[in-house]
Amino acid sequence: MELKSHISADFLMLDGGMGTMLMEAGMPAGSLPELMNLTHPEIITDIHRQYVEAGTDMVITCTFGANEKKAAGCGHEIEEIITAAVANARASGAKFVALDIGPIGELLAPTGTLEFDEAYDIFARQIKCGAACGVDAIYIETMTDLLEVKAAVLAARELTDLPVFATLTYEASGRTFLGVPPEAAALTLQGLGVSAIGINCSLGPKEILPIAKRLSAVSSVPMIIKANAGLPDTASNTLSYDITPEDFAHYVPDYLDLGFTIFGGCCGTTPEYIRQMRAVIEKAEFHLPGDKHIAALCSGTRYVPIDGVCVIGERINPTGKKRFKQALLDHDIDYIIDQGMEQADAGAHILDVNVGLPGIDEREMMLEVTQELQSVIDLPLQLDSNIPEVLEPSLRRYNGTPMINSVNGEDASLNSILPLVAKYGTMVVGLTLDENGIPPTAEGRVAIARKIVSRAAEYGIPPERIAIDCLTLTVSAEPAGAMNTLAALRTVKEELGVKTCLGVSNISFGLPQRVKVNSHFLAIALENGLDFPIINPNVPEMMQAVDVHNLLHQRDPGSQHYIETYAVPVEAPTNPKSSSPDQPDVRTAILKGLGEDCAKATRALLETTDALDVVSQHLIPALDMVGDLFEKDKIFLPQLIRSAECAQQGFEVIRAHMAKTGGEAPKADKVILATVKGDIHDIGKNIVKVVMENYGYQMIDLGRDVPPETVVDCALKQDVKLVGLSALMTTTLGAMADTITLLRERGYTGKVMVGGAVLTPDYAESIGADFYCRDAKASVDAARQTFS
Amino acid sequence: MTLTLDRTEVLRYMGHQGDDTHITETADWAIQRITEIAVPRWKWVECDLDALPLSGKDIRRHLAGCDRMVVLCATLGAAVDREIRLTEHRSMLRALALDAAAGDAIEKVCDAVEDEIRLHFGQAGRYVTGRYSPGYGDLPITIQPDILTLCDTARRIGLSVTQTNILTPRKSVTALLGVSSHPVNGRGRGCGTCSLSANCPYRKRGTHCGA
Repeated sequence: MELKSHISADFLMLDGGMGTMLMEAGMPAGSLPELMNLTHPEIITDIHRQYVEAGTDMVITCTFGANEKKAAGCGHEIEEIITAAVANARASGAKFVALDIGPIGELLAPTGTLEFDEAYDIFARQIKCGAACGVDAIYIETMTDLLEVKAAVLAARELTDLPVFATLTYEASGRTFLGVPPEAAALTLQGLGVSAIGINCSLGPKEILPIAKRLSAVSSVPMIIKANAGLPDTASNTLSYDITPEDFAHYVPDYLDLGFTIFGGCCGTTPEYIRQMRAVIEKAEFHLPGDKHIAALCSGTRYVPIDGVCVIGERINPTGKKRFKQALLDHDIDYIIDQGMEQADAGAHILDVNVGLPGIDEREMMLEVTQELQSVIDLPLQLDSNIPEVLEPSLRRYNGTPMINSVNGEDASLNSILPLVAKYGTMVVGLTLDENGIPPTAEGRVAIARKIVSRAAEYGIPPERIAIDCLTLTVSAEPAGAMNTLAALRTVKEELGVKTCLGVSNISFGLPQRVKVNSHFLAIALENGLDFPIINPNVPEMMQAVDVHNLLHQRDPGSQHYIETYAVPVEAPTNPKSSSPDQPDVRTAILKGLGEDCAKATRALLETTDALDVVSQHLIPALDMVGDLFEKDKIFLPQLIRSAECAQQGFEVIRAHMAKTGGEAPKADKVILATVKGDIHDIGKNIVKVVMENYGYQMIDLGRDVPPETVVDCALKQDVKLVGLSALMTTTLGAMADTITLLRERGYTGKVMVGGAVLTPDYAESIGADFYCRDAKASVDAARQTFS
Repeated sequence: MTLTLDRTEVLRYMGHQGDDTHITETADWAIQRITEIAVPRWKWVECDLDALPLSGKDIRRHLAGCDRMVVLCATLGAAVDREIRLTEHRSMLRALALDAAAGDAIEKVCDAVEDEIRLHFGQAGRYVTGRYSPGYGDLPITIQPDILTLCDTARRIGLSVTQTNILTPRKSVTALLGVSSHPVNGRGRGCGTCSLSANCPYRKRGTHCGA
């Protein structure tokens, strides 16, 4: 571990721009530099040697793009390239050699289509080969997606014991192309156990400095700076940069002041740049960055420091919620996502995700829900399960640093959960209970908290990454419970240096007007040092307690948040029963797209009419009328969608009514929708989904880029009679044909409808589709024919 | 770059005709939102005509009489994709409007960069054709990876391509422009060269997609 001890005791000088040197050596733009390792090993070694002579300690192999995607079709296996590259680097006589890993070149889902596991496998192949060739470190650089870096880091950590260096590339805005802020990168990468983190490429040392400052505020590990030689000359296709080696080295003291200890250069930096930097560093004094004791969570694009009250939204949880349970059983992911969006809008900082329900695969559901939530909401998540098998797949593929809810004082729990907290660098909720249940006294709970903290320390998990939950008991059953809980909370916070967490609403169980008790208890708990209230943020009184607390504790600069939120008085809720004379009926509301009115009118009808009759006699006829107008070109696509969304509010009233009254929902006909393999255009498919849902079909949306096997498996397993496929490109029509062929081969006897801009009725027929649908209305007609 | 979007174009992309205040307001909202969140980035490279493995008659015709070409790549960035994805959960109507506004925005970005390119070559007394993109006529989209590698777009502007040659982030364009020492028009764009013209929903309504 010579390199590991080196970087904790001394500066490390890296090399400069390999690409720059290769171009100077005459390599044409657009060619694969990595192949030069095989065709011109002497040139590569010579470049490395020039850097070593200029003062480089660790050279980085010329393998930036040596992955199976970028090097596909080059005529060589990546193992050949990497083996040659490591040998070429070694031949330079450098003290250390690091295996260079660049981005794969395809974006991961949800922006692209590459899946996390595929990315992991690609990196694993490079890393295994590099390690076998005896490199001293894995150097991951020029990354823009935190999830992609995570895949690479996990591969390096799981397959080798080598130190891992990871740098991202930022724009002047302080974020990467994919929106990652430096704090989120630092938090997540340190959590995953990398040896050094930093910044490379894109900008010069001057422009990077503000970003470096932000990084240094949260980094407890050695930091790397590898800037470009300034900014590229604006004439687009020149290779020149605007900073000289002297000017470049001139910035080194600024970075030394911030605690950077690993230096190198990126695009445009020749050996002279390295020589000049080396001269400055030779005279500098070495300091390691101190431990910053950061308590924070993040997603790929949002960093949430835990330095005040952080509201955890509790609504993604089936406990006591019939509608939510139904959504889980129906695999209605959209409903679950909507619960998340509503809480985000209400001001939650973190979303708890609990999808445990008998009869569903919790592990699969946890993964699907966290991935879907992460694709639309940037709040950090709290994965709510105490089953390691449920947690691990989601922790692995989570973009950022989540919190685990929870571990408790039982040895079995500690032994199974803490290793996950340590490996993925997460925060964790620690419940103050054990095999003997919840201790009645504050002292008993503090004792369990102590045990959790000391066991966590054995795994290298510091107290600031633990949120102790002293457990709220029902005050009507345990009159002394509330004060015991708060006493324990105060003690653990002061004595153990942990964060604290409480599920608040349990306090009022069995009492009338629960929100009065909940909001007041919340206010007292905050006063006693509660960091993470787990609450329903949609209840205004709860968020008011938080807002007032922040105002009174000077956590609301200029009272700005309070004033913005409360300057306009909240509208008195309208009584749904009073239907005024000018209240539009369902038909008018749907035609004009008045969603609130549609919901009101539906509620009014439900007072006198059976739910199923409201659907068949009011909602569906109104939609039919809209569909007719659309077919006759009297209204257009935006209006059709608007009416569908309006009707949706009416249907949601019906669904809530049925869940409440326990009425048997009619057995809905199931329809599968999928954008075919290779295609990611999905707005058309999603429009079809919205429109068809309103006609009472149960839409099974398989998403985009869906392999034929997934469609067929789902159709057969769920006994679906209509499959809708969408493709928007001539190049993906083949996948559509393949899907239909596979459906028939495997004995699917239902119908297939197809749509998408490049399709024609003739082509649809030629690939064996039963219906060609030119628009959303045509899909409804196809469904009616199928299920008539 | 300041984006000025065209409401009529946005409504056309949305498939809307006629007068509906709520729909035009939604289009205006989307235009405003896209203007706020789009981060236009672009990169162009001047190169020889054989710098890319060009196939098909149409691009040859487009570049006829040219001795060099410009390869142009532009994107609105990942935030736009994210916003559309998010909005689909809130309102499909708004998502449709955002998608349309983003479609207009990337065209406007390309127009502006094309002006920049024209100016650059004009100063040297050179002439430039219009833009011609993979997917037009018989120029296949399989050339996208070569175009992106040539312009080093992953590193320079955050633009990548999927295995099936779809640009990601989604609201992105690549195009080729010919450069010549005498005036050139290129093959031009429009329905005549479009492989989708037989079944195009815009054409059926008596209009065009704007490409």
